[in-house]
Amino acid sequence: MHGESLNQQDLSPEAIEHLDQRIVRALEAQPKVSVPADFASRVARRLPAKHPTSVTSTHYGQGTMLIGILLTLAALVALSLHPTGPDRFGLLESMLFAQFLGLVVWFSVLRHNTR
Amino acid sequence: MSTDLTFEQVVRDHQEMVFRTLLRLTGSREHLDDLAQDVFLRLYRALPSFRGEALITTYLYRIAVNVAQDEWKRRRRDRNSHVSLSDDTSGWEDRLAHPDRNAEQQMEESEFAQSVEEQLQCLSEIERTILVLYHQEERSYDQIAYALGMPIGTVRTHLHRGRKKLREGLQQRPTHERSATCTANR
Repeated sequence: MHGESLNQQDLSPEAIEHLDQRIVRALEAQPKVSVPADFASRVARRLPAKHPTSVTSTHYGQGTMLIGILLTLAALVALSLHPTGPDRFGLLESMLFAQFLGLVVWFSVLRHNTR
Repeated sequence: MSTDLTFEQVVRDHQEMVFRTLLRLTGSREHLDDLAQDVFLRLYRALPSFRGEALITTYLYRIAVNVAQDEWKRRRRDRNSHVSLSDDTSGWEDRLAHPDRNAEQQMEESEFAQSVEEQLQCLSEIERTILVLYHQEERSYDQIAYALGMPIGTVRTHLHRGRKKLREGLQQRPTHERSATCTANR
């Protein structure tokens, strides 16, 4: 095969199979690599310094939840005192809508900041 | 410090695989050390978001492929996209041992392996990557699909197409020809 041309249009199925086997053998042969002995330690030295993580806990979630509950309660009390007021369900609906909108904005900002 | 030591062990466990994969994907030993370092640094930065849905090895393949893609882009920019493997710094196939064969057969196989290597560099990047991951690294279709972020069916198609192009490329050129001419269709 050495010096022999493979440029043959009429390769038999056996020859094609033989060629495929040789190709697969060549592909499966793993190249030998020489990794420098100090490679791992060099990588370890290049690792970025860790930023100190914040241990101060925030209570934004609890605070927002409390404000939401109080607003809803106040609205319910106000509506119960004036049962004949105009469009009370519309008002309640708007309040809940505003609270959900606030949650959406909050989670969006949180997701953006943690990327 | 303990995290760094643990990560250093991760590097030790996987460094040979990363070097091997990068060598065949890029087809050159040039910058291999830098590229491998880049792979592990990217892994380190990505660890906080690593959810363990795949083996760290599969994750590393994904990063290695990304680094190789960046290297291909850099070479294209430098108008140096083709690198012959017949230079002095490569030729790893010459060192493959075949203890049960005679010298002529070894040389013949060595030349054939070099032809395969040259034709491999002529394939599209995705075909080359899939052939390397499947044959050299013995990854499953699932793992390759995860590493490349593509459906398994597409992986199979590229694998089949890549092997076909490789065969056609080898059929169209004489084995004694040493030039790294790409004869396979892209």
